[in-house]
Amino acid sequence: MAPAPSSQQKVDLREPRSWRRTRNRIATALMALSFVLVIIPLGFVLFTVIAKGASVINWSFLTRSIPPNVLPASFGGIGPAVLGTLEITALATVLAVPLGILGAIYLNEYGGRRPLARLIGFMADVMTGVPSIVMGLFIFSVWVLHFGFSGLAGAFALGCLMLPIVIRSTDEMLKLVPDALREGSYALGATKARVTLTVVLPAALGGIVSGALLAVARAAGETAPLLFTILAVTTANPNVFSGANTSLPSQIFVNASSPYVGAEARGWGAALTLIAIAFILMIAARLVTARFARFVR
Amino acid sequence: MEPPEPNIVTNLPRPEVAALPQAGSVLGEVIFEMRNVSIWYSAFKAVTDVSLNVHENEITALIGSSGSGKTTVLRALNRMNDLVPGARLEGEVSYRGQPLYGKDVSATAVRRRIGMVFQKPNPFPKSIYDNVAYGPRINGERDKARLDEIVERSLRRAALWDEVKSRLRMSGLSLSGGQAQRLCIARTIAVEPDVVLMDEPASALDPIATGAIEDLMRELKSQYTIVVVTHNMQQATRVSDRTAFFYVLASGEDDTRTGVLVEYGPTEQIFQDPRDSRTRAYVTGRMG
Repeated sequence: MAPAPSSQQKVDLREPRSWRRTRNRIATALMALSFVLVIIPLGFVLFTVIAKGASVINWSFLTRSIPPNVLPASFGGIGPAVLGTLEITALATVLAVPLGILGAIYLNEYGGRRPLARLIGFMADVMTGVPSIVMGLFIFSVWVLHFGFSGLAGAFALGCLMLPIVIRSTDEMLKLVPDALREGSYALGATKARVTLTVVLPAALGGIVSGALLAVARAAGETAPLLFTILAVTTANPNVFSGANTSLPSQIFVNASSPYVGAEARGWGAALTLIAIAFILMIAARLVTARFARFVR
Repeated sequence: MEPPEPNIVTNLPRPEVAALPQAGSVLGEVIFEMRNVSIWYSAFKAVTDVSLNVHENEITALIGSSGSGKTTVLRALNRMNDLVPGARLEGEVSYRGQPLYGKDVSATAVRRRIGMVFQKPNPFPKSIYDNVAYGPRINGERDKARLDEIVERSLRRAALWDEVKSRLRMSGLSLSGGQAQRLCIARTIAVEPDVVLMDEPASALDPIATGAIEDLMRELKSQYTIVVVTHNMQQATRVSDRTAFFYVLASGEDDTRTGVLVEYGPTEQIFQDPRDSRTRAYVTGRMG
């Protein structure tokens, strides 16, 4: 049914043509353009690595030992590097993540505005900016010179790198927990430890876990801290606590600087493997976050 | 034969006695006794020289405009202000005759007996069941059957059971504002406190939910002592037995303001026959 003819004066509700409208359109176009510019390098990297690496990847490539560089791509694989990356990163995670989470809990729940807490927070920020190769050199001088190359030394270096990231991301997540929740728990007669363990941590857990997994993914891709701590050997070393080891980033570094076609192809395969590991970690982070966010929404 | 009742002729009004809250009232025992209490937040003196008594099984309302220190006084009664950095209290607060701020007194032990419901409903991001069971659990209750019983009883007393009994495993955050506030009340009474402090428990709720909370308060009065901060004067007249009126005292010289207790007495007297002109202005709506 058509609306009855109205005697009211017609009101123009359209956006008037004006400089404001033009500015709005320009800004929107600029944002769309920046998005495209951001996507281009990312897409290009992914495309190149997949194009050059996918052909060599299969199960035996991931498990066989590393052959001499002169051999073509159909020989050998990167098994020792996959093993090394997994064991060293896992050890670094075990060392750094609990320590970082506990440190952040101290900073946020216990330290308050005490000088010690402020100092730790400041140092964590400074550590975030330390170049990763410096971490490697540090571990080289205080550990490797005395005890030799080992996966453990590499894990120390990666742990030093992860620690400030874990502290910062956990700290941010704890800050997001509303004080009203803490007060609700205190008002029931809970001690500080109880409040932290039963209310604050569960409420922040999703964010803490995904922050930690991002730190793990970051560490898994680091080359520089490992150069001086684990070397890059060609045989698998399942003992992470002693003896030189190798890792995917180190292997990519070695293969990329080699002139042989086979070694280069294996390098691309290793790069794609590394990206896949990081990707799996990211997905895991998302799933974990969603799982813990069940009650938060 | 018994001697004749001495006050048989007292059908005359005796306003002095009725107006004095400390005058050994015919009602319950004194639960809280505040004597010359002043509270600071760092350099800011939020409340100055408050003295009042709270009686057992009564609802005591604290009214007054924003910034008059009602909430600060309320939070002093279960030592929630301890959690605010820089908060400091002077004067005496006793709870059932014991100094609340004594040397050996644990704030945790105090809060187990004196619960609190906040202005904004703050259910934990846990299931409805775990929200109510939280307090009993931190007090060491592990027995599943007993927890089930406590949860049901508390939710029933908070008039929420029928609405949530089929979804106890759902998040406490899935409830509406009024339900969430009743959940918080259930959570508070699950630990069987002696006193329930309420900080504007209905200010974020619609009139129907507010009515439910008020009914609940009257219901709980038989078992608990309730102190409630409210901005809503009708609410104070509807539920409370005694009313304390707080006022912001501003000093022109050094531009400081602080909250003071102007008048305290039976609710009926405060609203119908206030002694102080500021109380009269406030309760008749001419101020604040």
